[in-house]
Amino acid sequence: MSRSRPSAIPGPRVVIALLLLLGLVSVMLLDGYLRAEIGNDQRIRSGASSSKVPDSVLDGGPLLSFPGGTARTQSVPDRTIVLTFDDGPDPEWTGKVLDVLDDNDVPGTFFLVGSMVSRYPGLVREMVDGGNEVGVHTFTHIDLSYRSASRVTREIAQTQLALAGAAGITTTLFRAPYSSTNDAIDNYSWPVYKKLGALGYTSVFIDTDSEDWQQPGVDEIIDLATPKSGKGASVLFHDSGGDREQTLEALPRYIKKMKAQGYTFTTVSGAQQQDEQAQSQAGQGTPDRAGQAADPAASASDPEQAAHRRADATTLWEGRALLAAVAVAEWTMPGLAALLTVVGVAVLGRFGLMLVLARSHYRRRNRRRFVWGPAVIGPVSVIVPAYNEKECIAHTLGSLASSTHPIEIILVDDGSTDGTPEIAESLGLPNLRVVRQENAGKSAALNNGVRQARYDIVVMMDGDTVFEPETVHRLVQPFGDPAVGAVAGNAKVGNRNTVIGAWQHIEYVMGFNLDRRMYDLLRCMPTIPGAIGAFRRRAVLAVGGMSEDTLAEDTDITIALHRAGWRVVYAEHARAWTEAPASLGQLWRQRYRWSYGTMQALWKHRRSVTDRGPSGRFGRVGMPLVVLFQIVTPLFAPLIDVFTLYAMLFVDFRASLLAWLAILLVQLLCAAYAFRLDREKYRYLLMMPLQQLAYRQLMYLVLIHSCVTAATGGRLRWQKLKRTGVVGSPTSGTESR
Amino acid sequence: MPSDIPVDTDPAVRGRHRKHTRASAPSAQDGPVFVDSSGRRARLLRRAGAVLGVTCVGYAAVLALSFMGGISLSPSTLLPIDGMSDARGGPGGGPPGDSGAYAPPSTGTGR
Repeated sequence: MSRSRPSAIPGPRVVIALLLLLGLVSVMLLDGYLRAEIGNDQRIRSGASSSKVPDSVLDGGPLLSFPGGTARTQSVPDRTIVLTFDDGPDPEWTGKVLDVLDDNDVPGTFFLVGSMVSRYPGLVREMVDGGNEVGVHTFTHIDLSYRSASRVTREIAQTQLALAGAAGITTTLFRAPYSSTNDAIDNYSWPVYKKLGALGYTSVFIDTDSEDWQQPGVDEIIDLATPKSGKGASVLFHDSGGDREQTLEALPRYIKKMKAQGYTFTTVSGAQQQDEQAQSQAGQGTPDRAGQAADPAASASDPEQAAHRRADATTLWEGRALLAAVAVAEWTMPGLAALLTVVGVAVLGRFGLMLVLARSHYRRRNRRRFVWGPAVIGPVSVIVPAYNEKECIAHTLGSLASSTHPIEIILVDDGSTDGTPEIAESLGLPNLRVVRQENAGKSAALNNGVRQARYDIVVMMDGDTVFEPETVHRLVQPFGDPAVGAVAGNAKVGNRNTVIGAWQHIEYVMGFNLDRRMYDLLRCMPTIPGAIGAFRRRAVLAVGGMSEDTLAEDTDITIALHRAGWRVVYAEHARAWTEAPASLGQLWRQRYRWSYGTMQALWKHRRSVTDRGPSGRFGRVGMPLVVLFQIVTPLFAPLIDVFTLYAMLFVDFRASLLAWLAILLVQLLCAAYAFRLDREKYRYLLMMPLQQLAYRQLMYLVLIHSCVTAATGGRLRWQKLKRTGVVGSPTSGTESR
Repeated sequence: MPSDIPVDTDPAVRGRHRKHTRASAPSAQDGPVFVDSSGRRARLLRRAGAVLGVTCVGYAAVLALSFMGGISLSPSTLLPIDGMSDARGGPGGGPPGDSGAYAPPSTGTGR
């Protein structure tokens, strides 16, 4: 029965998964980049020397350009104000600032942060349509003097792209983050301005600072923003980066006050042109506007938006693509974050619920006077389905022979080719019957066994599982309660001294001591493990026996019993020792079968949601719990890891790591509690951190893989071949699989 | 004890047999749960997956372009109003004077 491995992971699926991962990573990187800290305007790098900066620039006006390659500064003409707003657009404040400007019929010049432009392009469009001018304030509000030349170029190019996408324009105005007045230019920032000047940019400084970013009070802002004795001014305000209530209040009053003093308002380009006119008038001595009027092309556009350039087609589309990409990220990330919250709450809620219910279950069932009903002492049938189990079968049957409870053993040989039934017969056990059948699968073998069973209680186990002498007796005691239709035992991993074995050991102990106890009390246990379970024969027959509809016949029958109104309980003291898969490949296939089979079983019984009576109860209580805890939360668990990584990279490394460790600690505590309930040695818990890193990834890959298979409706190879004895000892594993 | 379940001599048949009688279950096709023998669902999903994959690649490409490049923003497209004389007509794309945003450099004797 050698099965080739490749069928487990088809190529296209992996490719698509990787592409989706690429998309998700792109979205997250973009989002992280966009959300890079844009704080309040903080002046940094102070006290640096300005020895290399020409004095004419340090003492000159705030509009610095490099026509013909030489530095030129221009001032805002007397009785003229250029209102400049930094750090926008901001979804809360920019619109209000625009309203104020519009109400007072004055233009402003907005130095925009590209990341904000790309997130709120509508505001930029509104801004430009309203006759305001815009300038580049970098993409992520960085101090350019600290950055490489390529970063500077990239920051500006990206902002221009965003502007093009938002309003169809690019601009020649630039203001460096953390810049202020001309005399603050130092030897670090000067090369940046020179370089940008060579590219054609006008760097815009300020000569009057409202200091509104410090929120000094409305009167103070107005006072600080007012230039002395009728001079012109390039005034700094902010429409973003914090609470701008004071700015909003100050602006209209400020504008009215300055208008009353005879001031006019313009943009940077407007000021530049007025300055040029003044210069040319001084040169020519003729105070008319002939020069301006003589240029028809210039008058055709708004001189107050002269810095704007219509974006060419490539830039336009590149810009629109960037904005679309940003929009996707803007929608995706909150969506994912919401999902993450749901998953996080579900995971933590599950832990809480499990701890409470497990404790309650443990106390209730271990009370000294607790009894299920009259002691069950009559003989029971033990059904052992076996398929090529020659290594284990003697052990298995031997352990049953020492049972303290009277039993008959029915070994159903499912067409073994390795002489399993002969080995069994050679043991000479008086209460053993060997039933042979053509290879037909585990379900068929179990059904066959149920039909052959003489007693009303049947115990089912795997061919590679070893019982303790007390196991059967303890397992069947709950049948003293006539309402109980089936009992789950406590399966233990025997080979726990390897890494994989230890991981599964942790998983088993948690699964049996937390999950099963919880499900027992909630009366919706979804699965009786194939390794150890007991059933009322008539209950099994009444629901049609084990079905071959699903790969998880154990889950299927358990749900069917619930729906038929039987109680399914957990007998913690009935222990069975089982060989856990010893290689990753075996583990993968086992879990694939489990998770896919569970989904099949849930889907098969989906009608129970609308049923009445016990079936409806399971449908409305059990199904949602199982779907949430066994499919949805583990399926989205990777989100937790991905977001942790994201938060480590972009938000706060230490806090994220601590959060992750906190989750690990919660899990560790839960696991420790589970170990305590089962009196297991705690040292295996040392493997837990590694389990979180490696094992969990494997588990959700399996789950995703099963979900996709379920969706595509592909037929699994082993679905036709049925039971190949997935749980086996390592030795049998190498040759039978 | 209900004995309405016939003891079948061929257990393999029973699962299937039972399913046919369950008229209420729409999933009761001629295979186990989820299996779609026609392959239509697989085809549909493969296509959807391909579309999704291509979308993701496109997305990554857009980002790569705007992060590596912005190449289209060569200096000539950004020359200022009063830039060098060769700036005239430099800025790309839009025809001069078109709907306001574009202002050709007003260099020359005008000032």
